[in-house]
Amino acid sequence: MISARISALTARVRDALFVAFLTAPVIIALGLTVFYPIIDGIRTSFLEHTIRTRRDPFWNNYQNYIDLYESGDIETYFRTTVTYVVAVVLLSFVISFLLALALNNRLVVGRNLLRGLFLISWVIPTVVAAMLWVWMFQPQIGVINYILGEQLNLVEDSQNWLQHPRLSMAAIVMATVWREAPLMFILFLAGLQSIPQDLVEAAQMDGAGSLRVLRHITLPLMLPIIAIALLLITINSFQMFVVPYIMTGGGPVGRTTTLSIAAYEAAFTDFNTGEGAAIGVMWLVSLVFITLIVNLLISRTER
Amino acid sequence: MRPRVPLSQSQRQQRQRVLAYLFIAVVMVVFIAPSVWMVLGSIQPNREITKDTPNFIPRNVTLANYERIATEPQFRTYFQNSLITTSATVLLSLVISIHAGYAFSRYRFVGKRLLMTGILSVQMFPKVAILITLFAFFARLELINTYEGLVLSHLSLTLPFSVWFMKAFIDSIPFELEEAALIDGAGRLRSIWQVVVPLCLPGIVSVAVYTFMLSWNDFVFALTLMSQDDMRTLPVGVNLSYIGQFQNDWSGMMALSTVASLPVVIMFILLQRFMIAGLTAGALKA
Repeated sequence: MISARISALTARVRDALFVAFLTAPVIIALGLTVFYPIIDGIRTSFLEHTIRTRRDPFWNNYQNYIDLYESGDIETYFRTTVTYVVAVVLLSFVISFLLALALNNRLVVGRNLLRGLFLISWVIPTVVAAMLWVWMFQPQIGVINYILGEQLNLVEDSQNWLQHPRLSMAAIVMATVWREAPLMFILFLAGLQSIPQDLVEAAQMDGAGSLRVLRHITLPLMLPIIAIALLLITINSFQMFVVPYIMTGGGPVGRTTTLSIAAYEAAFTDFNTGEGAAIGVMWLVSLVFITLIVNLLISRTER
Repeated sequence: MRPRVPLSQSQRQQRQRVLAYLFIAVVMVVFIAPSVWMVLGSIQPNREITKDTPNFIPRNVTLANYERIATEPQFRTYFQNSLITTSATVLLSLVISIHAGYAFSRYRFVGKRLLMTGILSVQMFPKVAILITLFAFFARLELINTYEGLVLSHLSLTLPFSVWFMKAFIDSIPFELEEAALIDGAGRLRSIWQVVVPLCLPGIVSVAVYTFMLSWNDFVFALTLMSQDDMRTLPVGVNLSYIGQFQNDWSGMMALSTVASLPVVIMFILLQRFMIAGLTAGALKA
């Protein structure tokens, strides 16, 4: 009896040790590279920590937050980021959803090849994508001004997109959609392909047109995938650093300074680590908030 | 105008088909043209592609830009650094996520849900914000300008996806297949590597391709954690040469950009099937 218990106990201890051995690396890696820096960042955000102070960082009575709030900077960063994110998410959603619907049609020939080609812009490195769009947006020699300006007369000749107060935002949105929309598209296509075809055929037999099939069958069944895809691309574009950093550097006069550019510049250009950390904390809090809301919505629609 | 008559079934299908093709054509051109433009720019001399009227059909095809990149030792260093970092990240991510995925799939233990949610939540944390304190932390550990430091930071990009994905994949492998090996006296660890891993190969390929792309693509960690020129990776090299030797040299820039894209594009074309299946399954389960 006792020996059976002891052997059961040793088996449990052995299992526990084995689980610890298997999970320790991921815990250590993410602990060091994510969770410790976040906690340290929250601490740093309350400190006067700049290259100018020339002494050890010290508690500064929420001054980093007060400065960001009173100067109105944080509001501008948030507004810029939200404009960028909403534009990217909406455009990517419309384009990739319509394209997925069109390509899901069995009548389209060569759709696997087309799908592969469409994904190439998502595979190439973001830096390369940003650089390529910088070239295409060049005022004198860029192909975009040539087509939109000289051929179609939609924009002024030699329009300087990346230095324009409003067009600079449009430019970084276009480059980001070009790179990110394909991800959404694969998710939508996979979702559409999982919809039972007999359901659609039965509805068509009953005389439902394509729009009604879309509204009453496709959309409701796709809702979970749409929610996940939207969340994924929202988080991605909320985090986007490379595209604005390379294409506009946050300019002109801060018109494209998103939270990621602002945090980076505060910490690594102005060497004000405390302010950079404070921007990071507010950014993190808003992302956690968005994720919680979306998760709530998903769990509610599933019920 | 013609009076609206109800369209017959076949007319409606016809119209739908035309609309679908038209839309596909427009979107495809807009999305594929820039990549083609990049390659076309890279195989022409710079004076040809910096004229006021662009050449849509190249007149002067040359590989001189690629030759220049191949002969400058600095680009070879960037390429090598990218390759070292990325391969180490892929290998480590695979081993770590196979082990952790196995534990999450086969065992019940205290704090499992919390741990798994914690791992998934990493994806939503802003990387630039993390980097501010990570930089100071790595400086104290003397990990700046080391492969170890950059690889460790890349694990934060790859592990959330790969651990969750491996867990879901191992879930789909019946435990009975392992039992035979366990009865024969193999330990749990041997059973993972001799029974589970061979059965998981398609999943492992998906994880490998995706982690390769994530690590190869990284710019912001490499930009801040690798400040020495001989430690820089290719994406940072692309950005630097824009202000450096390729200033106003767009054909050189495009050749370098093409070189930086080739490994991932080739890998994607070869392993597209695994990649797409893995990605969608991963997203759906998460």
